[in-house]
Amino acid sequence: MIAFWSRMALQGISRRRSRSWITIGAIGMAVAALTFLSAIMVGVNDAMIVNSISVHTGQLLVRSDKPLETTARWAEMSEFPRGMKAALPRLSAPVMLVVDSKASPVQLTGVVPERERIVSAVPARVVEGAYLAAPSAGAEILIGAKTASTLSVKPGDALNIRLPDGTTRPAKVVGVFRTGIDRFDEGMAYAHLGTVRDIATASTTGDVAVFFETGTPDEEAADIVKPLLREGERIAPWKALLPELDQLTQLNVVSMTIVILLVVIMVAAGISNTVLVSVMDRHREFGILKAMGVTPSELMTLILLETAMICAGAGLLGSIVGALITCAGARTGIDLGRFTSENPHFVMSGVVYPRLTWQMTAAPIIAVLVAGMIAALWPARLASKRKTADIMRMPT
Amino acid sequence: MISLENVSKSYGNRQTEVMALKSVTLDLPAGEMILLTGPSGSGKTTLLNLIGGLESPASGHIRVCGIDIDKVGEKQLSRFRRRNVGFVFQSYNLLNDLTARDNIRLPLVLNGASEAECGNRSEELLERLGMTRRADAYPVELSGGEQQRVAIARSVAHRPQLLLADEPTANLDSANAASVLELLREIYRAENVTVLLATHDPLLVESAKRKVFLKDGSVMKTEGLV
Repeated sequence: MIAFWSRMALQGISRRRSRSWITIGAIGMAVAALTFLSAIMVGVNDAMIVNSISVHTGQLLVRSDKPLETTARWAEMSEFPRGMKAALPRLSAPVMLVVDSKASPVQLTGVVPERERIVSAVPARVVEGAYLAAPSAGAEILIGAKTASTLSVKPGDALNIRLPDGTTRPAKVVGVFRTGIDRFDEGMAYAHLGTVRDIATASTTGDVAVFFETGTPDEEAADIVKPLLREGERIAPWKALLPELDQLTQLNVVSMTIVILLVVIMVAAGISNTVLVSVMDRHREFGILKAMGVTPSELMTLILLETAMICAGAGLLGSIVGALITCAGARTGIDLGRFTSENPHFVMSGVVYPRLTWQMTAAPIIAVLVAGMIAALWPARLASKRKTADIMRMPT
Repeated sequence: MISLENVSKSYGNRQTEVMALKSVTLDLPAGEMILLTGPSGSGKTTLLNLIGGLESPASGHIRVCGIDIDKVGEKQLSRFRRRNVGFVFQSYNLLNDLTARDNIRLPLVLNGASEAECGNRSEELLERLGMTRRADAYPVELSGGEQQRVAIARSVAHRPQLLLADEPTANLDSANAASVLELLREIYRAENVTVLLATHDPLLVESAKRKVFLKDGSVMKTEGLV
């Protein structure tokens, strides 16, 4: 019997083509807008995560009790597993940078420059001089803008690295970077991995920042890395390392969900009104059906099926349109640099690439479908409860 | 077949109450064609609606096809109409979204008939009514006479025990009216259905054998009924 009512509902929709298309168009536009907005939200979250993790942590950080061994092994890795973009081994030691009477404490981090260039934000944020090149005879160092200001040095100048045991090593400043994050611009300096290995002490720590293709779920990323781990090595995901960023992305999702709900409530009010008008217009048709023995619940089923078909069609159409707009936006990206230039979560770039996820694509469709059915319940009930004889007495 | 006992029906509230039927008691036999006649406002349509289960009486009892329809709920009333009753209205009341063929098929589908049964029965009726060539037309594409033919076919498609026709010729010209009445007589004979026909057409009233005369909601007299 449901097949029969479905056919009746479809016929009802197709015979009132103009009204159906206007309704489908209105709901579809809302779904398309929500789909695109959701994609932007996902894109903003992606951009914030990519920007933030690119400064140091990567999508996950491999921490080790044996920093020298771990960083050496990961530095020798010539190929990365599928899905992994880059693995950046780093050794860090607390040192004092000294120029004449001026000194600045920093965490000196040894890196593999050619790997850092692939994904790290720091090479892209060099504002003076150049990033670290291939290892040379003397120690080269890249310092933050605030450290350079404190020490009054510029690229090409010499400085001394004073180790915790009081010994010093000479080094040459090759470049100055500015991330906009104070703890990096005045607290970090970069050198070749070998340079830091040479001065390693008991307080030297080591980790590997691992980067994956955008959108790779954290669990999947961890599964890729796990087989590569040795004893004493453990994974720290970015969510544990950057809890404030995790909260911020969750806040975005909650905000977007509220927007979806508000829009869906407005759409539901529109659907309710449309169904009510349709029910009023078709009182005679429903009266005839009831006179022929259609039960109130069957009449409700018919009206709800029509609404469900319209909502499903509109949802599908809206999703396709939303997906197409998203694809167009994702090709070039949307430059929000004007609004993010001072934001530490957009260190590398303010360009947002809208991205569709299954959840955020399905959410507007499901929400519209459910809201549509709820919105149609009252008019459907109204039609089904009306007395047949009263309907038949109404003017044609 | 149809038994009414002290049936009354009123409309409106206490201040504006209008008695449409006043203590009507009737016994109508099965398998007959019976005319309900009387002036406008005499209660013909109300009586048909009550017998067809389209509305409930204010008081009294109605028994149709073995069912006490004043005692059953809305759902059972719907089932009763679906199985036992066919309606022909003055204004045809075809479903505009369905073709003539689909309008005829509708009561069959509602009664759970198979696809083959629906097809055979609808084609049989279309042929009998001379509407085969207009089977795929929508009601708006049909003339008044054609629409009423389809409405008659739809009313008997599911082989009901009772056919209730409310002024079926009132909207038709004399030629079409005569044709529709002939069709109703033919259907009555062929389908072995009890026909209750409300009309105030004097010619029709004159030619009928069994009649119920109504006036101001009361039965004035009956003819041809025991």
